[in-house]
Amino acid sequence: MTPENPTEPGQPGPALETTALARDLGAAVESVAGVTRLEPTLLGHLGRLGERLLNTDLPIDGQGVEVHLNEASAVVSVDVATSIQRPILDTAREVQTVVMAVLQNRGLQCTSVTVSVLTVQP
Amino acid sequence: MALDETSILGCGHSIDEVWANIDHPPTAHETSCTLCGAARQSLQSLRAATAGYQDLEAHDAGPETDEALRPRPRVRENILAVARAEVRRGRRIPIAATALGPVMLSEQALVSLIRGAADSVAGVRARRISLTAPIVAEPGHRTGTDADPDGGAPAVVLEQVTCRIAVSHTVSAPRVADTVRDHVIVALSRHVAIDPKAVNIVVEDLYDA
Repeated sequence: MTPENPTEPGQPGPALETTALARDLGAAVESVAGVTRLEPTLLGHLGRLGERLLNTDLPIDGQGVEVHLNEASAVVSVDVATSIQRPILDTAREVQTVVMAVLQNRGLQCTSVTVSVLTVQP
Repeated sequence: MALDETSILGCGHSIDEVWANIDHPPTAHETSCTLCGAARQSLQSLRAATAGYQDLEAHDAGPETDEALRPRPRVRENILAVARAEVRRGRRIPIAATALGPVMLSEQALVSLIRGAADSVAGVRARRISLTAPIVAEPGHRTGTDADPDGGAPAVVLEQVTCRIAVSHTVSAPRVADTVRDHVIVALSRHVAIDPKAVNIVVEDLYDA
């Protein structure tokens, strides 16, 4: 997640809002039929290690959901592993729809949702 | 995070093989294979970054490095496993563009899809899967049989897929080769709306059923 206005550690603000939004989006994406899991990148994995070491709640890139907030609109990127049991394009389209629904529920306009299927599982 | 522990690229060569040759000029296969080429490039970047950090550590800490700063073996193995997984994924290919945004597929996922289709044929074990680098053509030139209903999708042109397989001695090799080809074409069409121009099947071995 890359907040436009990061805050100081320990203070609630846009950065933590972005973190919370990304977590909600991640949960929604994982509930989509055909999605087996989010796919963190190496950067995300290292970030998670750093999060544990530093005991921080600040946003960490590469966890499978990236949110770029700009006032009332959002650009979202999602990296997932999907099941081969469902057509990949159907799964990806539903992920986009679910992400848009979560954003709309929060009063945000969705500018773009990029879905990357990194792994296909039997 | 669940990780695939294998380090085999879609072409059948392993990341470790590419790594073992990293100090030498690329082999003939590495020169022609897009997957090995991409893996080699990523590993060279990784090696350069690692060497840079090692130099920094040597200059900053002197000859006595702080053992407390070294990651535990399990942590290091975990990070390396994630790094290998990331290298295996290859580049991301745009396969559709809906009204909400683009849909991308990693090269590794594309190869997995093809491998799964070949393996689904009774009496067949898929071995190496290779493909020409997918080319993204101009929108409006979609080649897939299942056109994207959202329109405006990029056309992914896949010139050639080659599946090397082993077949059971109990089946007819020409017949199962045709079936494998059909399964691959159907899977690519159903999942990602890609219609390859050629699907080559190479029966390279027989096995006892």
